[in-house]
Amino acid sequence: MAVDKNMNILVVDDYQTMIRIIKNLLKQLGFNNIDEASDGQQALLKISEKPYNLIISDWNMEPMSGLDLLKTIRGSGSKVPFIMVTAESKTENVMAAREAGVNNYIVKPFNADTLKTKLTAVLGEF
Amino acid sequence: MTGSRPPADDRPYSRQEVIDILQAAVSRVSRDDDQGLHAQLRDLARYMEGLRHELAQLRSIEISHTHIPDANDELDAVINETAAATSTIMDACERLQAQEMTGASPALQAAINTETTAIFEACSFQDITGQRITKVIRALKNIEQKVGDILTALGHAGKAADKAMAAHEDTRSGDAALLNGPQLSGKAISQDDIDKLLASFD
Repeated sequence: MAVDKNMNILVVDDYQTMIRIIKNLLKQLGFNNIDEASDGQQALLKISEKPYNLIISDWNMEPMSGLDLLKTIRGSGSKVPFIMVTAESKTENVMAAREAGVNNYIVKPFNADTLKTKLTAVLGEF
Repeated sequence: MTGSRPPADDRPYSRQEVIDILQAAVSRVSRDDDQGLHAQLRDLARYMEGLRHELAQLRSIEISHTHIPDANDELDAVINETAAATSTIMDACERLQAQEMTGASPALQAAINTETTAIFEACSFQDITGQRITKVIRALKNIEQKVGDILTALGHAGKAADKAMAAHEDTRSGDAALLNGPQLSGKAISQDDIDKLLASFD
């Protein structure tokens, strides 16, 4: 099934620079309904207001990290696709995210091709 | 006398508590007439006094009160300035991407898109360096705290701090004293202010 380019995407990062980069790359790929949040708590607020089809989140944020956000989302029973985009690249980090239910993991810095590959892996061909 | 019992909480021994403990040990040893141990304790006391002097010469107060806070401020400024510069670069890219290129060949349009995307990707340096600098700031604050604890334990607060701060005064003169590198916002005047100042001489 073709990926719906009108899907709702939430990008979560405490660095505005990274949010703008990800949003721009997503727009280049044809996605336009993109919201943003600066940490896990703000992301949960957004999620409570609107259903999202994909969450792309940083890990290291305060007061709520991306891992805690993921755990909270999975704890609520949601299976929304979740991609962690982070500079944390140790094996134990990846394992912890995997255990919490992450769908894919991108290490910063990354390029447009990497993002597209991961999106395809999570959402299917588009 | 507090005796040799450790403090109830996790705080370090105060200077006075250390002196009390040493004095108690020395007097007990004197009573026992154990000259060897007595001498060792005297050596230990001398060593600690020497350490105190060495720390004073290292201007530890300056490190704690001036150098580390200054370094933190400078690093904060690096994060803010690179964020602002990155934002400007991305603004320019977005304007370029939004241009309607009437008459431009598809190849040119594709090339512009490719290059602006590459610029966006490269801008992620700001996020990475920002995180690294934040880690350094955290480490510096930790060191600042530890140095402060050591100084407090050795009784270096108060007058010693004032003396060390005075020693930190800039001794450069002439044109050399004018060179301080980029200034933090709030510590310098703006370009507008400079223009007005210069215009006031006309």
